[in-house]
Parts: sequence; structure tokens; C-alpha cells
Amino acid sequence: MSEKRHYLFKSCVLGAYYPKVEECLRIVFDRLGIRYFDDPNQSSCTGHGYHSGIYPFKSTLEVNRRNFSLARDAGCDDIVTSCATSYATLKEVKNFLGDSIEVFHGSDVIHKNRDQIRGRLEHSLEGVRLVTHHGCHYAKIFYKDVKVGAPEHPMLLDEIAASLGAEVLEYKERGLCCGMGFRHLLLDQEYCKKIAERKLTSMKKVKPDLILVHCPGCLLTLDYFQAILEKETGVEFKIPVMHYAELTAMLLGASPTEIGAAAHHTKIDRLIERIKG
Amino acid sequence: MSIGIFLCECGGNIADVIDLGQIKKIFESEGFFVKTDEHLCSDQGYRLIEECIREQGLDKVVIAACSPMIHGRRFQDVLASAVNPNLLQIVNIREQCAWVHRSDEALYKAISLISGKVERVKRSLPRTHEKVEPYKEVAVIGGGVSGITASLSLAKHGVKVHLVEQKTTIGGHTVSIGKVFSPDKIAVECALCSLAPIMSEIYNHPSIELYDLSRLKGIKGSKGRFEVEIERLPRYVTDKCIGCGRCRYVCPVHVPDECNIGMKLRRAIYTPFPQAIPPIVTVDIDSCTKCEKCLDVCEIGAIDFNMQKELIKLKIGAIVVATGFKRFDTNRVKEYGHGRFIDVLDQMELARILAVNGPTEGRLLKSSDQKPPQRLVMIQCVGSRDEKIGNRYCSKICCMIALKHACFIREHFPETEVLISYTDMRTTGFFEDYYRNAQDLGVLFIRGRASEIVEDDNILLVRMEDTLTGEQIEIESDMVVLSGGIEASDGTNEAAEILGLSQTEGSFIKEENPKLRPVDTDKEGIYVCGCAKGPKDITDSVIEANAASSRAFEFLTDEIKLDTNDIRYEELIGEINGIMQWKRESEDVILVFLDEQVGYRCADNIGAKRLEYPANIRIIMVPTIRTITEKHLRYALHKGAKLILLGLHNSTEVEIPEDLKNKVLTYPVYTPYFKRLKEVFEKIE
Repeated sequence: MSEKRHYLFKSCVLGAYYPKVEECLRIVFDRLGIRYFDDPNQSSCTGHGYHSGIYPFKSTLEVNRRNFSLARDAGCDDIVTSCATSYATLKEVKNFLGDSIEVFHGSDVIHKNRDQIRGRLEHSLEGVRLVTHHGCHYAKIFYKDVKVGAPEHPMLLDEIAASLGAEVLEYKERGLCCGMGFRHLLLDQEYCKKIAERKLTSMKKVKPDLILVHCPGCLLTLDYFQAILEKETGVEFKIPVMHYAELTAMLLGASPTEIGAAAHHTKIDRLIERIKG
Repeated sequence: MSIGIFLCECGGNIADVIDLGQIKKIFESEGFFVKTDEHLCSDQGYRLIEECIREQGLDKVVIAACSPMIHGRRFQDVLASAVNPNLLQIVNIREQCAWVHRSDEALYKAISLISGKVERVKRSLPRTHEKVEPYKEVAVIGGGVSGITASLSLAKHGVKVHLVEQKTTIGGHTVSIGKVFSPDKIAVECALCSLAPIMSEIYNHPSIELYDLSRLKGIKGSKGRFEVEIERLPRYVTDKCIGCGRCRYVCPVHVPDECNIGMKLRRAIYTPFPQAIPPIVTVDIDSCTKCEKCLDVCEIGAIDFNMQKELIKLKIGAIVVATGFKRFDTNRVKEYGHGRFIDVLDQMELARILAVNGPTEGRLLKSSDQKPPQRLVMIQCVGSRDEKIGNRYCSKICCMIALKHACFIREHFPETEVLISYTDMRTTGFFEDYYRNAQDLGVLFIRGRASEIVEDDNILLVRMEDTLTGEQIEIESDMVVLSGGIEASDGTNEAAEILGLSQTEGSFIKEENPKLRPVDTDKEGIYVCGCAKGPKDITDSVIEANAASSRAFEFLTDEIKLDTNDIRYEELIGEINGIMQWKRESEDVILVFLDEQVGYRCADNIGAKRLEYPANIRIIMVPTIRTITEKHLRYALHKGAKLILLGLHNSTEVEIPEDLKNKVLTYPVYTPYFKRLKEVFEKIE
């Protein structure tokens, strides 16, 4: 990772559904004194469209070639994304172009600084039992870059959560997709629901206080589908879902308003109250 | 003086890239005799050169062909009656020219390299190789089944053998396996029953010196006359020990037993297993509490806590590397949960469970509840043929290990169902009988690679796609056994580094020629056998060990031609001059000096992999870097070389005059790290 400032890459899903969560990576970086550049000219990585099969690779290439130029103009050697899909898309483009710019996921930066974060915590996750879910676009496409755990069993969030004081629980469907599935979400939502149900049922079995996710897509799916599934199946879930940046920002002292707790479909207020004491 | 130049087409390897006709024209116009042939290394090729020498009355010969490392010595030997070996020089226009440059650049570089050798032989004088008697002793590194076999074979040939083993006993992995598969009949044999007699033979053989708890630390000298340094850790028990074992009963310390891969406990003073060789106890000093209870019961006073580690220096003629393998750590494949789920094991752990001297005394019981499993699933190719883990090779023996255990379980514990999920079943030759036998015994086979193992209500679910039906399946089981692959052992890596041997994919030691010299390494006098060279079974290891000992014996019985290190000052000046004569105005020539043993082979490897680098790199081979004097450096720079690069290895030090330091660079070379050297060649501009 470069010592220079990072080019902070914003996520379209976060921006649309959880605009405050989008800001959380900035809150964390500000508190840690990590320098970044927040560029108003940055455009979407188009990964959502690309992975749904409705946006051609060539266009993805050109849009991100522009994004790389913007990063370079800003004097940055690397890009830090808050989203796992942006991470995979940018890496794919980088490799295709043979570009020298480096691409990191926001959780990589948090993991790297976890000792410093632990020293600055205003609240701890002591006594909180959580399950983690890693983004498939983080772990499964550039599997060789998964440095913590193994590609089929990433432990990055587990290590972050443990360093924040939480108890991390194993569960049966750990390796399963959250259910979003990109093009499936557009074509066959029933299938998505089935997967999400399997995932959430397996999580529920170990009685977690929180689901910690890696990717805006997973946050959206696991957060929104809970209520829908409850209505359809009559089975109650009500498990709070949080994005890694959001959770870290909160523990570093950000208020519920700052992290946009109200945007969550499955309420997280009680959990926040419990953590904040 | 009449010089002949012979150009080899190498069946197109060279001629397809370099226009040899052009080269012929140029050197003929300078008055040399030039001849082109399709394969100079063939018998006809040798005869052609010999005829030309006689008919044309040639005094000196320059052959432009493949690397001198390949046929150089042979050209000199075969043609020795026609031309003195020192008056025959090889130009490397294949590995360091045709294979690494584009056509036009390669042509120009070839001309300059040939010119270099021509100018060199002009200044050469006839010379005979110095011959020496090798030391008639061999060091065998590693005391597994390969090392044991090689040691015994050499000792029976009358050679003094020094067997170096890092553990407290010889025997290697073979002794832990318990039951081994047999190649020609469907049977499992007791590993220790086959091995114990020869282990004891090792111990009692007058010509074999066994160094337990020892590692190779360093090597000096050259082929036939090596001086090796061995570090031997203290056993804290002297040879007086009679192995009565009283000390073991009084020792209060209990630690995991390595021989049972931690599934049983042992004491701090122990023998790993009753047939261990040397048959004396050892103190595991790291877990010993120094209570000295053992001292009280040892009547003969064999325990000595004051023993120190020793450095042993040996003079030996040849080395056999038999450093074996390391079991792939199946914990690394996280989705299978080895270490997370108590009833997920690897094949070695299952071998220990099935062994009568193992933790369950041979009864098939689950660790979780000490009950026999109802359904046992074996997963093949764990850490082999796996891109994600980074081991692309097949470990060769896991299919047979799985079949051996599956058949054994079906025969002795028929209430347990056995399923094997495989990528391909590789049961070559007569091992096919095993495969059929397993099917007859009701072992089920499912083709597909398991994606993950999950636990649900204490049942292990193996998830996979049955690739023959295309269905996603979940197999309920209560015991899963992972067929972990084979990786190069730490000892293999250490030996390769200390001895300067090339390594293959997966860090195994590379043979010099996989077909014709499969147990020779790229260093003369050093041989390799067994799993240090790659995955293989016991039979193949024993065959290779015998081959390696036979090659070492051949080497020691012959006179050894030492490389004479007296390349004359003028010869090297000639070669520099010849190369620099062809420097073009616009060209920045970079002269690279590489030593024969390591650096030059490293550069050849770049060619063997067809990796391109700039053609202004001109490599000159020297016996050692010390051959080069300050005058050579100044001469080369004076003749227009832009930069000079000296390849160093094995902590060679050279003194470079202060004023030349920005023109003369050094770089550490290692034969296996040729890609880095290629990068250096690219960046040096």
C-alpha cells in the first residue's frame, strides 16, 4: 500500500441506498490520519451493470481508464474501494490494461491498521457475537490476493471483528452467496430469495447479534430480504446487518446519525444502544 | 594458423532464427573455413568436424551451437585426437541468442559472439586437463527409505558412507505409514517389517557412519573433492545406552508424539518407536524439565546433559541428496475444515489410526466419540493439481494411498461404507488391480472435487458436484479423510540452497536431464533420489536410490577431470576484443561475466524458457569470477563496453576499483532464479 494519499473509490449501491455508510470509510480514515482523495469527478466503475451482463466490457474498460487517469492526476498510486464489486472490476481492468495502479479494498486498509484502531476504540464489541460474510467479488475472482484465510474461507473480516473485541461464530453456509447474484436479481428474484433464505437460516441457527458484511450488495440483500422473507415464510430473522466501514466508524465514536443507522431496513438501533452502553 | 568455424542449425532451433548463410559469408570473407550442419552433436556431425580438421589442416576450432553446458565437454572429448580440447571453443548461439532475441538482433549478436571465441582461440595454447583422484567417500543427505537404500548400496560397493539424518532416527515417512501398498499383488505390507532389517543393517555396517540429529551446513571445494560441514545436535545420551527404557517410565513430562503426528503422547526422554535406529533414547531438551529423575535410574550412566552440538567436517567425493518430502498441510484448504472439525483427518492420520502401534491400536474409531464411523468419505487431490493453492502437479501416490486404506477398511471394518471423491483415478500399470479390487469390495467412487465440508448437527456434509451426472450433491458422513499431496521438504530446500542445485516447480530438485540422467543434478558429483526429486512411491524411490548410488560409484571410480582455472589472461582479452570489434556505433554493449557453475547455467535457463531480453547483453563464461582482473575490466571499457555486470554467488567477493564502480556492477546469481536475472538484463539500461 502506498504511503501517499489513497484515491477513495465510492460505491453506487452505498450512494443510492445507504449514503451515510458511504461516508464511513472517510470517517475511519480521518480518525486514523490516513490520507485520501475524495474526487467529485469519479464515475461509477460500472461493475453492477457489467456483472449483470448488461454493460459491455469495452465500455467498462474505457470508463475505468478515465478513473485511473483521474487517480493518477490526483497523485495517487493506489485506489481504495468501499465495495467488493468495484474492487474486482477495477482489478480486472487494471490487469487487462497492464496499468501500474494498485487496487485495494477498504477492508484491507482497516485490517492493516487494526492495531491502531484497537487503540482508539471508544466502544468495544466485547460480548457481541457475530457472523461474517465476505463478498464473492473480493474472494473468488482474484483469489490469489486473499491474504487472510484462504480463498474459499476468507478470514479478513473475522480478524477485524476479533480485533474489535467481538466473538466470531462459524456457521454452516459460510461459503454461500448472499443471494444477490447480479443478473439473477434482475431475472429471477425467487432464486435470489431462496439463496438468501438458506444463508439467513444458517446464520440464525448460531444466534448472532450481528451480520458483518464486506460488500454493499451483500448489505443490501441481507438487510432488505429479511423483512420480505419474514412476510412470506413467517419465520422471524431480525438480525442486524452492518458494513465493515460502518461498524468501525461507530466503534471509533461516530454517532448513529453519522453512520446513517436509520437507512437500515432491519433495525440496528438496539444493537447500537447495547454497544454504546 | 588455420581456424575452422562450424555452425549448427540445431534442426531449425538456431537456423530458423539466425541466417547462418549470412554468418558463413562474413567469416569466409575474413579467410576462415566455415561449415554448416544440421546436427553437429550427432555422430555424423562429429565425423564431419573431424574430417574437415584433417582435410583442411585446421589447428583450431570454433563451434557455434547450443550452450557449452550441453555438449561442450563431449565435443572436446570426442574430437580430442583431432584438436586439443583447449583449442576448441563453443559459442552459445542457441540458449543465449536464438532463443532469447529477435531474428535480426540475434544474427548480429551471433556474429559478435563467434568473433569473440575466434579471437580467444587465436591466443589459446594446447592444454591437458589436470586429473585428480576423488575422495572415495560419499555423503548421503537424508535417512528415509531412499537414503537408506543408497547408503547400503554404496557401502556394499566398498565406499565409505556418511549418512546424515536430521531426526533422532532413520526411517523417514515410511515408518509412520504403517501399511504400504504393494506393486504386484493386492496386498498391504507392513512398512516396518520391510524396513527394520535394513535399518539395523545400516547401524551395523562397518562402512556406514550414521549422523543423527544432523544437518548439512556448508560445502567447499569442487566435484570429487568436496569438504562438507555437518552440524550435529546433542542427543544428551551417549552410545553407552542399551535402550532398556527405564528412563522413559520415570520421566514426568508428556508431550505430543511426532511419530504418531501428535495423536499419542511420549515422554521427554524417548525413542520414537521401538525399532528406531540408532537404538538409543534421546532427550527432547525443549520439553525436558531437568528434573534428573532419568539420571537416577540409568545404571550405566548414559545420560549426559553436558553434551554440546558438534561441527563435523568431512572430505567426500560425491553427495547423494535424499531429503524427501513434506506432507501438504491440509489445514491450508480452509473450506475442508481440517483442524476445525474433529473427524476430518488426513491420510497419514488415518494411517496412524489403522496402525497397530497407533493411537487406537489399529481400530477404526472416530476421534469425537471413539465409535466406528458409518460412512467415511475420502477427498482426493487436496493440495495437488490445485491452482488456488499453487501446486499444479499431481502428487502421484495419493490415489494408491486412498485405495489402500479404502480396501483395508472394507476388508476389516465392513460395517463402514467408504466413498472416494476423485478428480481422476491414477492407478497406472498393475495398480489397476487395486482399483478393481476396491470396486469389488464395495468402495464407491464419485468423480468431482469437493467444494466444501460443512457440519450440521454433528454430521459432516461433503458438498460437491458429481461431474458425471452434473448434479450438486451433499454426502452425509461421519468421518472425512483428506488425501493431502506432497511438497518439497524443508531439508530439500536447504540442500538445494547450500549445494546450489536447480529446483523445479514446487521446489523439488531438478535433474540434469529428465530422461538420460534422471538422478544427476546440474552439479557434477551430486546426485538426487526419492521424493527430493518429486513425488513418488517407495518402489520408485528405491529404484532411484540404487540408480543414484550407482552413478555416484561410477563417478568415484573414474579419474576426475578438474576444470582448470587457468584461463589465460590473453585468452579473455581476446574474447572481449572479438566481441567488441563488432560493436555497432549506436549500440550500448553490456558485457556480462558469469561463472561456469552457477551464473552461466542461470542465463541458459532464461533461454530454455524462451524469455526475451535485450540483445546488447553479451555474456562471457569464466571458470570463476575471480578470473577477471582489473585490467580486463579496463580493457573492456576502453573497447567501448557501456557497462559490465559480474554475476556473483556463494558470497564471492570481488574488489572493484573505486573509479570503475559506476561502470562495473555486481549481481548475486542463483541457477533457479533465472527470471530475476532476465529482469536485471532488461533493467540494466
